Amino acid sequence: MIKFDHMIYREIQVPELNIPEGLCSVFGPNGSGKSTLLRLIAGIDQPDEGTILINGNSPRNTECGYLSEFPDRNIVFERVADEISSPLKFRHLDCNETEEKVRGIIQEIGITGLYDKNVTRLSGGEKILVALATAISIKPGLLVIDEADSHLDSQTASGVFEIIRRLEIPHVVFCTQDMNRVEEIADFAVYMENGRVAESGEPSSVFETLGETCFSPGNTES
Amino acid sequence: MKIECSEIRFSRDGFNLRADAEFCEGLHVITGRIGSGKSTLASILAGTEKPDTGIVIKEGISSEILSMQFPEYHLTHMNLDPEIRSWGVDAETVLGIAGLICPEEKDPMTLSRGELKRLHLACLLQKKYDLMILDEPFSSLDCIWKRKFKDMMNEIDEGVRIIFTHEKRVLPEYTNLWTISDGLLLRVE
Amino acid sequence: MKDPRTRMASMILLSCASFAGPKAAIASMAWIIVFSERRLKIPSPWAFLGLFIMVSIISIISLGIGGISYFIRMTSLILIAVWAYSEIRPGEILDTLVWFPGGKTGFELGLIAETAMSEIRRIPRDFRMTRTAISFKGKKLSLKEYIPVLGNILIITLRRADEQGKMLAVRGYIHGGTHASKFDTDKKDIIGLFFAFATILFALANLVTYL
Repeated sequence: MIKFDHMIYREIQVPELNIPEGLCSVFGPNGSGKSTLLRLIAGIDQPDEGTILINGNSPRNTECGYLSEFPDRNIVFERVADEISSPLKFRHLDCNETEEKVRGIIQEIGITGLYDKNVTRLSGGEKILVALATAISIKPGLLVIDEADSHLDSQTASGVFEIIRRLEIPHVVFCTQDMNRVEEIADFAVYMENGRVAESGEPSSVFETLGETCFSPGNTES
Repeated sequence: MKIECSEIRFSRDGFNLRADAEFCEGLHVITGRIGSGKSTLASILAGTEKPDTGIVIKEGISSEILSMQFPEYHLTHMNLDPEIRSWGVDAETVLGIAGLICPEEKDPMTLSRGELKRLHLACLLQKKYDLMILDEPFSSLDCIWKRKFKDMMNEIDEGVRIIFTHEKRVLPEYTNLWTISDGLLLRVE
Repeated sequence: MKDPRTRMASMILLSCASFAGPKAAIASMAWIIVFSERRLKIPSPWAFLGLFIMVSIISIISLGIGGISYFIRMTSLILIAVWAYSEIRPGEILDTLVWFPGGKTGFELGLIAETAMSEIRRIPRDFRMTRTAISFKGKKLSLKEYIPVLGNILIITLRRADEQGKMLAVRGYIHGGTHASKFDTDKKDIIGLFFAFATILFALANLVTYL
């Protein structure tokens, strides 16, 4: 359970929010505070007031994988192999075991052709796939994905979420502008507006409240 | 007014792209999977990337813009006001169109990705271009803005407009639909 | 040269030789012509030109008191720096420093050097991107705009470093790490290293004769 208790950070205020295990989607208009909320959950930023606990631990004490909304901000190492293996290397894992794991992950995500490439020279979508491979390399307890699907074609995005589902990561919090995806795969939905959680709960009940707005699946098309 | 790719060939690290096409006045949508070469072709058409062989011929085009996939690449100033004015447009009007309520001295890099995209699109739609090349203009936009941007694009009836996108649900009315498949640019409709 | 270890060792030897005297500096430049891939690329042609002009001015001022020697030695050092920058590939410094000195220190130094090199490589790209953005805004990058533009790039770089620090923390970095270095060595590496040694010996011999 991800538990928010009287959390305030800059313009974001979440007095109470409980996100159960599974796939949680955060959505809402641009600038509503989705990315900031995700950064707080990942422990990149820390609340000014109140707390966020993930299964009773602070985000910084949770094994977390994070994908930024700006693909270039995910890059630490330029060599794809070094980048994907970095969380394993930082945990002092045996080199042979690291290589074996990395090869397995890139095969699973379908980016074997990128193994020897330079991350900075990849396309936007490919950078996201490399960032995803990096984030899942440690089998995290929490995976935070900030609107990665906006850089991917629908086929690739669906494939990526299928893999995430298969990995059975206890908590996956993702932000998206694709309401159909929320309806299809999310177990829990959080709708944000002006720095506040306007609605939360099972996707079907959240969409019912949102009614005829374009933030409800089926109304996305013009 | 038209832009033509004549026997364009581009190769890098095992990636190959071939394009022979003519884009006349109207709106052209080019789709393709990730890594298919959409951004590369956009850069070649705009002249910011050189093909290995072949040429891009532009006829009757005196003004052009390449809207890059990532709006942060377009930033040249650290405050909103000079950034918007650097486009030669009015800051108040642009902020109004982009729906941004924030001080003009705000650093644009502190905006969310979606807000930054809105700001960028609002700036470029304030101007008239003979050639508009838009690389993934819908990415990061929320559904309200996707519709709004689609309507704005539908209102433009002059010049050559080329949109590179993987968006399928919200698209403006197009003249031709193209796709890049297996490194080859093909006309679908 | 394929092996970064022989390349880095050659770079150190040639730099020392160039510093020691003009004859060895000329020998070092000849070494670069023979053993480099001769695809010199520089992070900023303007900075390179500025450095070269500065060296030239100092050399002219010091004509008669070793100006020519200074010019030759500095030109050689600049050429070695450009060659080393041009041929280095991402990941090679980490590979080399994990090989020597190795352990926690080697990994830490390699990580710092790799991220620093990555940022250096990004600066020309950022600059190109900014120039493209300015040109699409219908403007030209005038001389007086260079300083604010470079200032912006510097601020962006500092922010990126801050963000990268946070990314390292999220990825679990505390201290050190494991890394398996891989090297590809061919004949040219051995021959190049041999002649780099020969150059430094030549420099030392000249120095001994001089003393």
